[in-house]
Amino acid sequence: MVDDASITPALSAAIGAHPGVTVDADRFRTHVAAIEPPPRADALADVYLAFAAASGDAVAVRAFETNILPAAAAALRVLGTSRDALDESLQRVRLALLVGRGLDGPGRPRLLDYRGHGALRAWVRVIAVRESLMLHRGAKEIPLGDAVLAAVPDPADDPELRYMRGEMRDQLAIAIREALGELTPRERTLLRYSLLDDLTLDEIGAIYATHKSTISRWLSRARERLWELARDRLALRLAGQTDQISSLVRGLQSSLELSLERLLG
Amino acid sequence: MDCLDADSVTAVLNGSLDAHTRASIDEHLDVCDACRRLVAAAARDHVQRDTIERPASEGAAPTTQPATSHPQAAARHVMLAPGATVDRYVVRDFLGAGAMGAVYAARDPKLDREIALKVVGTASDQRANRLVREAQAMARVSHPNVVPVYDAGTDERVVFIAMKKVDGARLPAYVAKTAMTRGELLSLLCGAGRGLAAAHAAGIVHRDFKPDNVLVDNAGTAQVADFGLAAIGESEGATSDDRGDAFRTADGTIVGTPAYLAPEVRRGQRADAASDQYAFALTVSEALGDEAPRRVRKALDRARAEDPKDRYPSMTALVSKLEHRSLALPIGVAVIVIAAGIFAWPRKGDPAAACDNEARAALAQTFGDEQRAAITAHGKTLSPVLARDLDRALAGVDRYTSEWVAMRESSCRATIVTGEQPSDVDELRARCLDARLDEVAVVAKALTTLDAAHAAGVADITSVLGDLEQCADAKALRAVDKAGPEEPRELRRRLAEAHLAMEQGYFDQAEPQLDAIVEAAKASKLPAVEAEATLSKATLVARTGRKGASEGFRDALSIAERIGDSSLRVDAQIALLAEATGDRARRSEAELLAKLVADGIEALPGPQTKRRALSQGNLAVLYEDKGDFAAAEKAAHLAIDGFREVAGPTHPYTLAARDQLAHIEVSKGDIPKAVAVAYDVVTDLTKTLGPDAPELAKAELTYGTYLAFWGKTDDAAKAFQRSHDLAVRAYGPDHPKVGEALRKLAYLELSRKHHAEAADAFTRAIAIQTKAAKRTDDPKLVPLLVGLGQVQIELGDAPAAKATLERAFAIWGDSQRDAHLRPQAGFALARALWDTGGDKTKARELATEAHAQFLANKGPWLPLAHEVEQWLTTHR
Repeated sequence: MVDDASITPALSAAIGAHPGVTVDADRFRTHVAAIEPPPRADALADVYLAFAAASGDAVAVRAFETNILPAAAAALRVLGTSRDALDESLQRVRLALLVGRGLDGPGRPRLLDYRGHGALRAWVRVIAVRESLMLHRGAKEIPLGDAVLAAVPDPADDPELRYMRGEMRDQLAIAIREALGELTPRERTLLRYSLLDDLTLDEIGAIYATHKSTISRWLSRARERLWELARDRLALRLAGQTDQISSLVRGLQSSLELSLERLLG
Repeated sequence: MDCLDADSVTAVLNGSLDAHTRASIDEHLDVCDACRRLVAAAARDHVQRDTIERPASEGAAPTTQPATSHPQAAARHVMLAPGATVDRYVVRDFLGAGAMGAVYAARDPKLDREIALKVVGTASDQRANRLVREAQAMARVSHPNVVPVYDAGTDERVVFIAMKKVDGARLPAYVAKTAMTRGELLSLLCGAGRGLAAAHAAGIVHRDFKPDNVLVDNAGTAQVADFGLAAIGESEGATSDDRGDAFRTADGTIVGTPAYLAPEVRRGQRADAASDQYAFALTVSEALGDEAPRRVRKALDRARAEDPKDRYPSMTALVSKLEHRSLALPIGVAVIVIAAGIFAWPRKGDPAAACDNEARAALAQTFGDEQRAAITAHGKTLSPVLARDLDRALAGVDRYTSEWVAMRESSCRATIVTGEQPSDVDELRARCLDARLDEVAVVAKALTTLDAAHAAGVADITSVLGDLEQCADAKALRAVDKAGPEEPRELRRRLAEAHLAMEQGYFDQAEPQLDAIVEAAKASKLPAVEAEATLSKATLVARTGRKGASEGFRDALSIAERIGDSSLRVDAQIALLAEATGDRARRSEAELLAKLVADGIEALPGPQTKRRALSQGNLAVLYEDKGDFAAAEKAAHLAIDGFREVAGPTHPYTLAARDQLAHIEVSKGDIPKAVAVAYDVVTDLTKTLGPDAPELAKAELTYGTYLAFWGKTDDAAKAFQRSHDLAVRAYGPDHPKVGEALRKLAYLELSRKHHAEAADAFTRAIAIQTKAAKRTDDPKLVPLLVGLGQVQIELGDAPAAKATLERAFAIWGDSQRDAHLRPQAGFALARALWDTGGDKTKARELATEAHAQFLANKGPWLPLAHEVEQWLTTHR
């Protein structure tokens, strides 16, 4: 974690990671200082890139489009977005991230909301899934499992997942689907309300005639259960297939759990 | 179940469903996307979206959002900040988010007037075109009861409609704050009806008529707005999707708000003027209630006919029927102030009921009918005795959970209904209670796998559940919350599991679990969990008879003191008290601890029955030690009563307390009373656990011992024999418990001069003990050898006796153990030596020594002294 005392050397390192990008160092420092809780030290370079791209630096934007945005495309493909729709969705994601939704007048680029608690690509992936789900809401329903899976990062998205080989992702997919199947009907419905129907806590609370803080607790618990079930199943599936299980699961722990948390709340 | 109809959906949001129906609906919604989306749409409609709170996701950073009152509105609608421009219009303020899009107050600089700007982001050009067409159509309608549309168009993928900004309120709000008669209300609504008629005349269908879509301006005129789903009457196929409430049914038709949908539209037909009529009539009949004049009601009934063809041919026809009637109403008809409560429009629900629902729902998720059924089913597979224990455990859990529900409800009410409790306290209490609920889940699971081998503590299984009262102590909760990060429920759950394992006797499982929890708690800086786990581990060490427990107790105590956890402190002190009580050398320490414990218990909330009983049990031992038998007796009774209450009459704690009472009676000298107490224990155990229960072995042994004290040797022998047989059956012929019974039997037979039986018992006991100790020089063998030697002398087998006794003395050495047996052993060896022709001098020495010891011990030993004296005189 980065604290105030070490901000400047860490910042310099982050800035140095992207030569060619020009951004006011003081503004960047202010931006980082305002992030609560503070970003991880190893994510500062990503925070820098995000900030620079959101601020309009051309080099940063290009780097963002070349290196980061493809993660969004990967997520959208998992969602089964058709080729034509893919472009449009990707454009919307790009717009939301770089420019925000306002028209004339200040919109807020979503990239400024990235807090550096995980890899930027993984974060963008989740944003893309949410965007896409919002767009799809009128049309044929996307299964909950697919939505969750789309948010799961690839090894390319997140260095924590470097031990995850291709076929493991399939195992993970199965594990998540099975885990979803093991949730209670209410838990699944809650997740769908939140993720697919985009309901607020108050609205879900109205459906169950309970207070929104309880809904929040239920949602967290559903998500935690989903994660625990998936993790346990994955560990079972992978047992014997690799001697790096513990590293893999540890990597998944932070990366995937974080993505699930972002996606499902 | 079938798909939900409009009434069901409304009922869901009314909060008027019973748990069973809710559960069925939950199951249906899990598999039926269409219905779930219906409910979701209804929920959006139901909740006034003044504040929008998303489930937390990274990226919520409201502090730097542009200054609209709805920072999160971006998630759903196009978000415009004051000053943003759409076409030529300049946004001023956010007015509200409707089904179709957001509405802003804006300024038209060209015409210099304030307008309302409805803005919708679109997914496709097709939809944009359609909406613009709609607006154009609306612009053609000029009618006092229709909100005028000024302009419409697109601006960069965003569709806007500029309309008149109505200064007033939506119909429900207007009615709630304005006193009016039914007649006046009907007039108002008929105005809206005329607006609908006007739109129909222009070829426009509203499709989403409802009270919220009627604005009432300050002059009291109703104006229909939000012709958001208007179609223009051409027969296009499935139209493109909308955001918000609009969604497709299975066959692709767009539907509107469920509550006011006409049945044919619900079934998939396209909306038209007749379905608008239906929605209007429904609105009016809800507004007027049952008290409307009969002719009005008749008209409304027709307008709400199932078959659209049966309704009025037009809105105009309907309205004229209604207006005609209302004009005929005498003004003298009772002036009724119409309160909002009359309307059936979905209410938010009674908050107190919501609290109750929440509490019960939370419980049902963890420990509901399903779990209880599983436990009861398992009970059927158990022996009757175990099943009864299971029932008792289940009853305990039920008591615990109803208290849980009561606490949860009261916390919720205090926050939401009366507002006397701040919501952060409610949150802390809820978290604490949630953790307790996790523990209930652990217990429930254990009950479904209960087996005979580990059922010792099952009736008291709820003792592993944490104190509910702690969750009411706001100050303590805050302190713990400040002291460290939020306790992961995971660790607490593991702790509950470890406690359960301990309670049931799975010591070798529990110990590593506890060690791991201590380490994890240390690593995560969770001192409360660390202290509890340390205490439990130390208790386990003590129970398995190993050393090092008091260190653990002291560690736990110091942590508890550091974090200010009073109940944990008391528990650690009780543990130390129990330890100190057994040690005569630590008597003053024990007395101090007893006082600390007593004070500590008083400071804790609630009856604290178990802790009091533990405290009294230890006090009983202390008093007995001091010789204050009356006080000891009283304390023992208190302990027994307390344990009986929380754990039942045959729980190990209760049995220990009863044994203690018997012991006290003996010390008092009231042997018959001791026998009675011991006998009661045997009776109770037989009754609750059956005549073959292993626990009876110990009870019979105790009973027999006191019978022997009393002089009832026949009965004592029988009791010892029963103990022996029980032990053999329960544990096998070589078990130490069998050896114990044999030892007692042997000595009894020796005193009754049944030498053959005694010899047999001693021999077998020696064999068992040798096997158990895995060595032949185990000190525990000494009393047995001494006994055997004495018997052998009596049987006349001097050489055997000599060998046995010499062996005894060899093992004995200088040890202080069993010192009271030395005189007998010495005398017996003396006779053995003499009778085998051994060292007569030595023999006389031994005898003389024995004689002196007997004399010194006095009392019952005097006859023996005399016997030695006799022998000495005859054996010079």
